Amino acid sequence: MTVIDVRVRKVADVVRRLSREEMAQLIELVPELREIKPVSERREEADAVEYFRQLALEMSGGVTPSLQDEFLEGLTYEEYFALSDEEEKALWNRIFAEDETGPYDLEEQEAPTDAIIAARQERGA
Amino acid sequence: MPSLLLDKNVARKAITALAKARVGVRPTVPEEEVLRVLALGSGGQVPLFITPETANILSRRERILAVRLFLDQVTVMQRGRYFQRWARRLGEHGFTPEDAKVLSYGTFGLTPSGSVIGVSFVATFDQSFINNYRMHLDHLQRRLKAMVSQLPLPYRNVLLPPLVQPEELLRQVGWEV
Repeated sequence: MTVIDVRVRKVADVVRRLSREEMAQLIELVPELREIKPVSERREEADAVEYFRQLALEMSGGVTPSLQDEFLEGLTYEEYFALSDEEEKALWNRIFAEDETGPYDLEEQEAPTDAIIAARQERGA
Repeated sequence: MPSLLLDKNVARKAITALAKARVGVRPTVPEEEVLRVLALGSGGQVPLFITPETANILSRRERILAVRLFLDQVTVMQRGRYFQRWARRLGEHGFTPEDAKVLSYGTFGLTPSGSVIGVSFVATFDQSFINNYRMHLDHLQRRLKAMVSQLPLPYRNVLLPPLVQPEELLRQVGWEV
C-alpha cells in the first residue's frame, strides 16, 4: 500500500471539487501532470524489473555480470547501453538481416476446422 | 484470454531491458513497459508470441542470458495456410516485407498446437508501421474480408488484429502485472 503525502491529499480534495473545464485549465497550467505516471503503475514497472532481475540471477547461479563483461556482438554491457537508440536499432537491424531459416519451420501448416480465431474471440465477435 | 505477437523491435527492447535488469541499470520507460508485458506472459495471463524468423535469429544467440530469458517468456508461432498470400497483399499497401509478415502472422499465424489462428494484438514500437496500418485499416479490413469469404472454415472467420505500442496496450486493455 502506497502512503500518499497529506499535502497531496489536500490538493486532491480541492481538485475533486473542480469542474471538468477547471481541471482542463489546471492541466494547462501544470502540463507536467500529463507526463506523470500514477504511483501504482510505477510500482508495477519496478516490480517487473525486480522480477526479471531475480529470474536472471537464478538462471546465472547468482552471478551478476559487470558492465565490462561482453554482452552482444562483441560489445560490453557498458558499450551497448551507451549506444544511442539509432545505433542500437542499426545494430539489431544487422542482426535481423541474417538468414531467417533455422530450427523453426517456415512452411505453411493447415489448421483444424474448429480452430479458434484469436482476434475474433478477443472482440467477442 | 488475449494473446500478443511481439515484433522484432519489441524483442530488441525486451532483450535490452532484461540485460539492464540483470546488471542493475535502470531501463528506460519503454523498456520498463516491455518488461511489464513480458511479466504478463511469464505469469501465464497473456500468451506471448514471436515469429519463427525472429526465433531462428535469436536462437543463435541463446548463450546470452538476456536472449535466453526472453525466449523463455515467448512461444514461437508457425505459418498457417494463406499466410504468404495475405503477406503479399499487405505488401501492396506500403508495408515493408518484415512488417507485412508480422501482420500476416497476427492474422494467419498458428499457435504450436494449431488450435488458434492469429493473435488478439500485435505489438510494435515502430510508429511508421502503426501509422501505415491506421492509414490503410479500412481498406485492409475490406480486402481481408473479400479474401477470406472465398476460403473454407476456419480461415473464413479470420480478422485483422489491432496493431499497438506496448504502452497503449497496457493502458487500453488495463492489464496489470
